[in-house]
Amino acid sequence: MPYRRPSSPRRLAPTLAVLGLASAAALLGLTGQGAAAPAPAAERAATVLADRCLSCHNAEKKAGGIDLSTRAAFTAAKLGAAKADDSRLVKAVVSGKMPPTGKLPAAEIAALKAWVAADAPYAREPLRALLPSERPLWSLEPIRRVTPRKTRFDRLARNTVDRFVFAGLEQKGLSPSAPAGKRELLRRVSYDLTGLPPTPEEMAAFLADRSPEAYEKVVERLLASPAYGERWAQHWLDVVRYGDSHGYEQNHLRANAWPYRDYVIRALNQDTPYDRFIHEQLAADVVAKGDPRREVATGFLVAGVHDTVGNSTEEGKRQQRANDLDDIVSATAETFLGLTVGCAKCHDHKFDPIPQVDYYRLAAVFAGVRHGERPLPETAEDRERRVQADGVRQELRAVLGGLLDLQDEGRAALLRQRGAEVGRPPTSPRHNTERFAPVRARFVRFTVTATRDGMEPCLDELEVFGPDLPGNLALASRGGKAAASSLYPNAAIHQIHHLNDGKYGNDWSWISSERGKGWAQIELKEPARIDRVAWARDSSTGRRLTDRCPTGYRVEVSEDGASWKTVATGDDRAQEAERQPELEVKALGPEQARVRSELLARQEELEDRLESFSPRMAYVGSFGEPDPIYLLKRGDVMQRGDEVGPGPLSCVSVGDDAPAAAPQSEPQRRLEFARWLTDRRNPLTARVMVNRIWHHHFGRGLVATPSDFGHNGEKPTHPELLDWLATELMNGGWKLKRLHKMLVTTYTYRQSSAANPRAEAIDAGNQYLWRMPLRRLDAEALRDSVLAASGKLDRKMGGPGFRLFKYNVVNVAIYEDLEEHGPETWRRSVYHQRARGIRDDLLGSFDCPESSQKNPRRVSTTTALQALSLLNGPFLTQQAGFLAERLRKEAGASESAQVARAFQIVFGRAPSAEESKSAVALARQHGLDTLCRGLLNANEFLYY
Amino acid sequence: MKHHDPRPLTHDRWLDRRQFLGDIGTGLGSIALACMLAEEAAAGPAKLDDPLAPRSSHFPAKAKRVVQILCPGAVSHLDTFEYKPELEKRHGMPMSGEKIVTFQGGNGNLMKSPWGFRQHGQSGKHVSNLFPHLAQCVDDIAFVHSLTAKSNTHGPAMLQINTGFILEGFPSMGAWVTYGLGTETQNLPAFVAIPDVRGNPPNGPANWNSGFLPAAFQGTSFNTEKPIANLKPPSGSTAKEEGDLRSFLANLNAAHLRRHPGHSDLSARIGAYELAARMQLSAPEVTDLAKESGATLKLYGADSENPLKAAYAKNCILARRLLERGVRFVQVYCGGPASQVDGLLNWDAHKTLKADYERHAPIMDQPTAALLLDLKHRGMLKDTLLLWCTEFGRMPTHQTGSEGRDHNPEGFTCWMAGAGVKGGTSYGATDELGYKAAQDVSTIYDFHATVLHLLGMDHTRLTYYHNGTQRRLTDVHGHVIKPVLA
Repeated sequence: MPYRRPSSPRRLAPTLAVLGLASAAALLGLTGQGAAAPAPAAERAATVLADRCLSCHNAEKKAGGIDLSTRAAFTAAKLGAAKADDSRLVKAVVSGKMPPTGKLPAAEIAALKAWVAADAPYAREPLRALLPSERPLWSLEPIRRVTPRKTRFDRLARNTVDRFVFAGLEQKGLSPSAPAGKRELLRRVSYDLTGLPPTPEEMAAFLADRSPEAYEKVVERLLASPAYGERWAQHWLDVVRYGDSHGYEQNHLRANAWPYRDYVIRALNQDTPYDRFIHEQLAADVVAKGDPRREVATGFLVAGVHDTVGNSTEEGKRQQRANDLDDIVSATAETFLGLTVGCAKCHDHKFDPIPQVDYYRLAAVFAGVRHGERPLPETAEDRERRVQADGVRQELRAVLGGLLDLQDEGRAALLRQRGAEVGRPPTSPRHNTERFAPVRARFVRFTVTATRDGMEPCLDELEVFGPDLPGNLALASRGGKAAASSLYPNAAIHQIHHLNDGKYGNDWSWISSERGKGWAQIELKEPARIDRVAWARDSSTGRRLTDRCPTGYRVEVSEDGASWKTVATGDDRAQEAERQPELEVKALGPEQARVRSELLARQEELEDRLESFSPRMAYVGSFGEPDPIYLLKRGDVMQRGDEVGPGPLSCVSVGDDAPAAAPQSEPQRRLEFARWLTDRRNPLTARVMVNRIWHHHFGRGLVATPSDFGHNGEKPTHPELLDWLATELMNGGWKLKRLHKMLVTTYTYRQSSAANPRAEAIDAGNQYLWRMPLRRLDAEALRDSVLAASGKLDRKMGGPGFRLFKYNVVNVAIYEDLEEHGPETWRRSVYHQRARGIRDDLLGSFDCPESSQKNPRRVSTTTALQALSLLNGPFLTQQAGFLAERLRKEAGASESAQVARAFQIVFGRAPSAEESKSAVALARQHGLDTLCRGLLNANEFLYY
Repeated sequence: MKHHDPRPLTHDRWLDRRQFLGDIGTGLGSIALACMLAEEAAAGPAKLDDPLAPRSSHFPAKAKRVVQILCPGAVSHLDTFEYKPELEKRHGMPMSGEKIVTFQGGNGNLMKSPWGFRQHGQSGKHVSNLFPHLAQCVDDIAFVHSLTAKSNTHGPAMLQINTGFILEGFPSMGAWVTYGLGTETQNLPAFVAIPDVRGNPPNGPANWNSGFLPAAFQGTSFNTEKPIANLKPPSGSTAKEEGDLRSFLANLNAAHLRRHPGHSDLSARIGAYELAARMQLSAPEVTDLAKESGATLKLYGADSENPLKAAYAKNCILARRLLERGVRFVQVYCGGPASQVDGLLNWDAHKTLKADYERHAPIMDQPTAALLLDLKHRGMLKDTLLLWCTEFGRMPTHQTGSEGRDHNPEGFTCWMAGAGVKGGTSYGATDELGYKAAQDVSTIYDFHATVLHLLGMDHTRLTYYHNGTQRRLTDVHGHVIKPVLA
């Protein structure tokens, strides 16, 4: 069902609506509500005065002695005149003297003139200045597609994009630069599209290809390369605050976050239309249901920080939930809309037209989303693996059982060697059997009197066997009933009925609520002869916990549940503390030792196999009944106001009024919101995305603040171009590769980056693109390029990431520097685990951001610590050695051939005679490794 | 000579670095070459694009540099600097009033401090017998006894005392200060974190991260035992090799710059290699305490038989040496990470307060007091701000079944001394039992605002644009605590 219309038009409605501007209508969602009624001169002028003049010329400030808030003050200041052109006010605006921020648009000057000519009637008094959030916001105006005007550079244009850029240049008195050389161009486009340098062979082929479409062919090749998805996924992951740890207090690694990262890479490589990309990230559980490769897209929602510790107080619980929702709301709004909706949590947005209630409408959209893992839909392949896993698990149980027996045998052997009494071994968390003479019983009770650690005892299964019938008689599936003295509270995985459910392990166990004691009981379906009871704390093949293991116990049986007989106790068991595991192993006979080592090897093998079979879980959120959402006064979770239903932002209207809808079901809320985002009439979504792509190709967005299209962000340098590209994106079926191709094949993109002092004097920041900027590789591209040069880059795609830290958990996670960069780290950097709050020396010093924050734009700094990590750091030193090895292999023993090859690999060109000479000299004196270290530190390598 | 960029820092100058570089004027190519060739190139105009160049404060500053002692694990205010006679009187009685929110479990009755308190100095300040050396310094110290924290959990609370926020991703105060003021030395990192030899504090490097500020402002961590990462050339390399490599690289970069004139980034990066070379010389010199006199080592307790005390003492000496050489902000940690046994590696005395603090206090006391005295004797305390901080306080009650205290974010003590600080002051107080801040209740924002004020910065004007907001160290809060100002 479509969204409910915003309920209360804001107080500004009359003021702005009468301007008759599209912006005013869009701002207030008034399209089609009669906003176009002709405005009398007084209304039009009031709007201009409020917007442009009254922040200074009001009754308090009275700047220059002039107050425009009332008719009386206006008259007193003698601003009017019989002839409008003689009016002080009209003169000031016509000359551009006022307002000081720049001359008014002609339409507004005309409005003021007409008003003065009509003897300055006041529509209402006093007039007041617009609040920043009441000002029309450019990004909310409908997208307009216009044709660029003609310029004298048009013959250079490769496509329409150039003509918009040229129009900007011409207006500023600038000219485009000459085209870049082929080498420069190939490095540029390779880095921009794939984040990797061209290989010497690719460079040679491009230089040799003299056909007019040589460059287009390269662009096609790069866009088709899997490296394209890896490169652009990294940009996207920055924007959406993707991280591989939870952050906050414990900051444990989030082991299964990566399926979302892989989804982004795949979606980009497959050129998933951007509207679908959005729908999947917000509601893949609906729109891609059953497709495990796409369902993980909802990882977007829960990619942020999450408090895993929690808090027991009501306030703490509410705050924790509010923090999660705040993260989702802010990330969604900034990513797709470029609006900082998060600023409206405590009060109406101070700068943008976002009332506080809108924030909570968005929170309600996501009120059913919770952090956590979700099992992925099973594919046919998965089903097969599951069946195989059951077999492996069975064998593993047998192997573990065998090892347990050997442990007891070793203990007995050791004690015998010492002449001590062997007795019964200590209880094992893994498996224990109590044997006794056959006895007729219906009830079997296991009473714990002590545990190893004094904690509440745990049993994962209580099994009963007899001589007359095969198998475990206690199973619920055979009519057995479980009972217990007590139950550990609030833990779904610990239940009384888990005692006889036939499932092993902590997740299907019972724990009492009493420290060191408690009893569990099985009532058989009918009385039977029994002679054996088996029990364990955790006999699974998985984690195998050892805490809470009973050490003191008795087993009692009864036929009628009234008179009991003790058939076994733990009184004769030795204590775990008396064991000497190492000596016990040594006490084993040669045959036993051989069996033991075989079993251990088999155990390892089976466990590895099991791990590869483990059910596929992904940290992509879980969905349930939405929480009721209340407007929180000042954002305080303890000050609830009215309940708020789901809905979009009131400042963006995409259609006609619809009847009020009932609160929508959970997935429907998200889906509806996604549809609103991708409605062609939403002016933000396409603009924001084309700007992100522009940003990464040209080093700066048409809007320099890619996630802030509000008043606090930057204004577009080329608004018409931005709109034209937005319509191109939508008209082209939201396909991103088409847009990339359009941008990188422009003349503008293919310009040289050479300096031009004259142009610099006009536009030092190159906002108008009179040249292409020279850019430093970002942290990941730098690291990947080093690996590409050394020949060690492992192009394996997807799957769990690698670590650039040592990881340890002592309640909280502890991250330490990595000393050895082994082959597992030689993959592309997009696959490194982005642990929050942690920065790798190399990546961090080169401005790789910390993933606790959304990072729509990276800064590029130059520091001494960068130089140190690149000159002396273990990674670069190691890779320089590999590059040297590669040179010897590929270029043979000739020093000059090695140097020539090195220059081709690292710089994409041959060395000059002089360079060759000094490089050979360095290598000869200090080794090829040292030369390679030097080349990989060169500006020519780092800049493109 | 340092080039001083007189313009106050605004976010616009960071918004587009190219613009920032561009607007410094003309002839960049020649400047860059000059920079590259000149011996003391760092003093040349190309340094303008150095994010660490010294910058003016908003108004004249009392403090030029900061050293911050951080005691992770939450130091009990009741056993150290805030004397509560009423707690002594009511020892063993139940605490009446509202229900206590605890972190670890049940709370028992009120528990007096195991240590006595005595008055010291002209100010007559009560200090616990745990700190005989610091007790001698009270007339130089302004205590803030009424601080409150937003989290009762170590990690987030450590982040709050350092960044103002309880989540990761926000800049540490040291990063804000270097962003605001730059640094007086290019040969050493501008912002240094000196972790305890027992390990990093809870949340580790996030405590000295630059958050969303540019990476140039993040703290560099090292201590007397663990040098700056990557400072040394690869093993086996000789000075000659490094020298030849550097001149080869300089030639390559010079030729590249000639082919690409007008790109100040390139020359800045050439400059960065020269700075790195100087840092390679300066950093080992600063961590080498061999030139410190025997008297100084003794003053700090660096000769102690207790290896943890000696290590912390050396870190305090290192802090002073860094400050002497122009480093802007130094954090020194006294206490390590959380451990399996609470209170073993830091001040988190849940179970055995007496044993824990009799282990930690002697480590902290003498070296910290010595740092204050040493700065004073060297005339540096006039313009150096010394801070002593912890993330929250502890309960006046004991934890059920133990003789320790649980977490208490409702009231705790930090202090400051040195530049611009009115010594012998005690500001604010917790209630008579020491549970909640009751008099002149203050926040960490207030504490941060006061530090920035002493450094000549208005905390509401030290801002950085990030994702739609002008971010501040103090968020939208904070008032300068005027009574602690001299």
